[in-house]
This record gives sequence, structure tokens and C-alpha cells, in this order.
Amino acid sequence: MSCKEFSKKKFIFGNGLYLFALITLIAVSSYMKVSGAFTKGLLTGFISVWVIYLIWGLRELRKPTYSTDERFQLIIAKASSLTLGIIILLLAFFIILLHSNWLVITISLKSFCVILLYTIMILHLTVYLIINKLS
Amino acid sequence: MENNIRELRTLKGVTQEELAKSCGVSRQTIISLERGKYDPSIHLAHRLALIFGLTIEEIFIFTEEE
Repeated sequence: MSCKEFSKKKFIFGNGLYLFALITLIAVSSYMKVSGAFTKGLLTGFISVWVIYLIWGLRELRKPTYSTDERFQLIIAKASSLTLGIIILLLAFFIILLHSNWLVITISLKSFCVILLYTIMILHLTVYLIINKLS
Repeated sequence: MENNIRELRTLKGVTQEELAKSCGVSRQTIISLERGKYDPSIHLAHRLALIFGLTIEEIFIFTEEE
């Protein structure tokens, strides 16, 4: 399966989704028991991704690059499944550690979730780059 | 899987970029195909066969192990 050309319709739909998500995020953030800095960081990250999507989309509409073709999709699929496998193994190892008596870990659930999120993101990127280089 | 894409492309006088555009894939995919690092889908193989005016078997070399 080769990549379908990126259409204006898809671009508008994508931006609509981003807009909806942003409005939801702003609306929900006031009810979340998190610091203002966290919300600002979240919004900055979200808007940055949207800006990247906007630039990429406009460029793709003017001159299609087929950057998300079948090979790219295959690499993403491989990287995702490999990352999932590694994360499951790591978590299984972590559970064993937590149940052992000789190790006491005193991190909060919030910190653990943040560590887990960053680990998944960094691992996925690393695995993607390795597979991309090898294939 | 081995293939003759590089030879056929050179014979046809097209660049990797041009071939990628006519196939609807990225240039990186053509590079990987030429190096034999990537096995294409049946759709892409068919499209390449159409572009070169050959059969899939004439472009890709199948071996028993594969």
C-alpha cells in the first residue's frame, strides 16, 4: 500500500481535531488539580505540535513528498510493537522489584507516570531511528 | 529480496526522486529497495512493474529461502 496524497479535506479535518482538542484542554484544565506551570507546559507542547502539523500540512499540499508511505508505516508499526514489548518487560521487572523486600522505592504515582511517559516516548523515537537506519 | 530496480532505473534514465514520485513513495523507500533492504508490498511491486513495463518476476528475484 503506497501513501495516498494528502488532501485539503484531510488537512482541514486535522486542524478541526486540533482545535477541538485545544478547546477541550483549556476547558478541562481549570478543573484539574494541577499547577499552572503544568497546564502552561501542556498547552505549549500541544500548540507546538499543532504548528508543526500546520507547516508540514501546508508544505505537503503544495508539494507532496509521500513521507508517510508504506515503508514509513511499517517502521512505525515495528517500532510501536517493539516499544510495547520492551515497556511490558520493564514494567514486569519493576513489579518484581516493588514486591521484593530489599528495595524500597519512594516515588509518587504522578512522578512514576511522568517517568513512564518519557520512557515510552524516548524509547519509541530511538527504536524508530534504529529501524529506519537498518531498513 | 534482490531486485534489478537500480539497473532498470538507470537504463530508463530516471532519478530516484522521479521514480519515487511516479510510485507515490518517498525517495528513501526507493533507496532501501535498491539496496535490497526493504521488500515492497504487492501494490508497490505491481506499480514498479507497470512503470518499467515488465513483470514482477523480472524485477524481483525470488529465492526458495524467502
